[in-house]
Amino acid sequence: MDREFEFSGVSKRFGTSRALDNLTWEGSGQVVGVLGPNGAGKSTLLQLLGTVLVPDEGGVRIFGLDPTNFTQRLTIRRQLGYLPQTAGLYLGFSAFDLVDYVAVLKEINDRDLRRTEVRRVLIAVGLEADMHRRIRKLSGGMQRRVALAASILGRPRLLVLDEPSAGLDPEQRLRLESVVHLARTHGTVVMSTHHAEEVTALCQQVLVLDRGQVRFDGTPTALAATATGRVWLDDQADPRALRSRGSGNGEVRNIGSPPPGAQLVEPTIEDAYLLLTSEPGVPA
Amino acid sequence: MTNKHLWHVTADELQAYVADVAQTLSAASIEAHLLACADCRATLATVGRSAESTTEAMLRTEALWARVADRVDEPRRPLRSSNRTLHVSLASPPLLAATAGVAATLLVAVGVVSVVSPHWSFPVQLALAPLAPVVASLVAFQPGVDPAGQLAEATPLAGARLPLLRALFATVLSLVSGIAASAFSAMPLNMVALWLLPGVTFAAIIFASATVLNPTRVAAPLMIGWTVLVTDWSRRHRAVLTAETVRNLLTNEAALGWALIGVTFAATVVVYRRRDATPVWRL
Repeated sequence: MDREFEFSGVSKRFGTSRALDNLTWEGSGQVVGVLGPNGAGKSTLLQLLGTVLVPDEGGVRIFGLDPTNFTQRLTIRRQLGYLPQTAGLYLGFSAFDLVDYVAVLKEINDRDLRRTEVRRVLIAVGLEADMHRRIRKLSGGMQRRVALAASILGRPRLLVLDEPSAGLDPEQRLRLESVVHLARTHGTVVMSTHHAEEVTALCQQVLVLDRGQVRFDGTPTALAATATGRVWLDDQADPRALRSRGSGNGEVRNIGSPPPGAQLVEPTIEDAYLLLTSEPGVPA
Repeated sequence: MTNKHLWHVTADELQAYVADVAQTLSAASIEAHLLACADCRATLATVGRSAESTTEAMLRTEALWARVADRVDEPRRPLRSSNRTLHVSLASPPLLAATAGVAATLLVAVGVVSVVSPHWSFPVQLALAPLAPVVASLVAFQPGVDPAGQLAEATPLAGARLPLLRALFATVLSLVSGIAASAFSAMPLNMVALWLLPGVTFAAIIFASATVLNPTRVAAPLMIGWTVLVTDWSRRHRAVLTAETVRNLLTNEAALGWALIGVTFAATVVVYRRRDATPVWRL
């Protein structure tokens, strides 16, 4: 399969801070999860994919096209769904009116087709009972789902979701998972998240970013495998560990270089992610 | 207070008793005391009235807030109908504010100049009026004013229809302002619409340019150029600066020809740039 997107030596600065640093990456035809601590450059990466930012250095290609060229960017945007981290919706509209408006912006000009599509996406995100309520009256999670509905209009070939699960309760996150699964059948989905379990449940490819650089790019299984032999259980936090976290049954999972005789356990994606972002390593 | 009883129920305890939040034992003790103490019964009556009036006040406040909230959320008919027919584009409050602000600036500027130097009121109106729809249209292109917020940034936009509707709205508002400004500049009413000619031409050129590059890069030199042109022309024709002169300037064949060329060129660019506007969505 052709690459859906490609980053070649991309750097992006905001003032003196470097959000992305000589990043090279590519992906296609699957659900890609982007993990990383706050300030790692996840949103900048997704904004570049969403064609709302241009790189300072290096090049981005989406569907083989250059998003800095007006005509090619137009072609990209006609196949793109983008959910920003903060949508900033106008609260005076109903959910239906707002999604209908975004459908107009997406050039879905046939009125009947557009209305049908707007209803479809609002139902897909579970807002069938609230679609005619003003956004101001909706909870934060519901407002997030309105924005999600607008981003999946037209079953885009590339769907870019910046922290789609932020503010969603567990039931809504399940709904999100079904939306992402469905979107996967139409094209590529790139989503940033802080939830490692979402990566396990949804993603075939995972990218770990740290300080603007790629620390890992591969499958979730391969990510977990990077911490093999580096996670051990104890009844308390080991001071020699790089990171320690409770396992829920009273035991503590210690991550780092295990002491002799340590009770090693199978690492999870979260263990591997914490290990990667805890130790200064060579970028992947 | 009499000395008949060794203690009296405090106001806090009575309030807790009235509100039914006192501990069971404490409530029983208070009740027993109240049966015997007239002073505390009198205090209880006061506390009871106070609690009742507080509750009533709270209920009144809540009812008031509910009415306010209902009023705020009540659909505003003109905007709602705009939403339906014009795809909500006109209901963007920042766009409304920007357009009204530009129109008000026009009105105030012409009014002030007519008082300070009536001779210059024509040129000022001529220089500023066509810029009103341009400025308002530029504001309409900024992502920050879009009702869909950042969601709108990554969309291909709806052809020329949406910005044109916004410009139409801005122009209508500005026209009202232009009519009002003519009261100060003594420009005949039938000439007020003349400034629409350069205004519409500028707006068309900016829309066309927006399909290729940042419209601000085109609008800024256009606006500066127009202001310089009008100022220069006014200086050279200072002796004969009348409404008739202004009308002759705007309705001469060359001006009309250039306006026609500008609008035609802009329309061609828009059509050419959007020729492959076939949506590829899977509906």
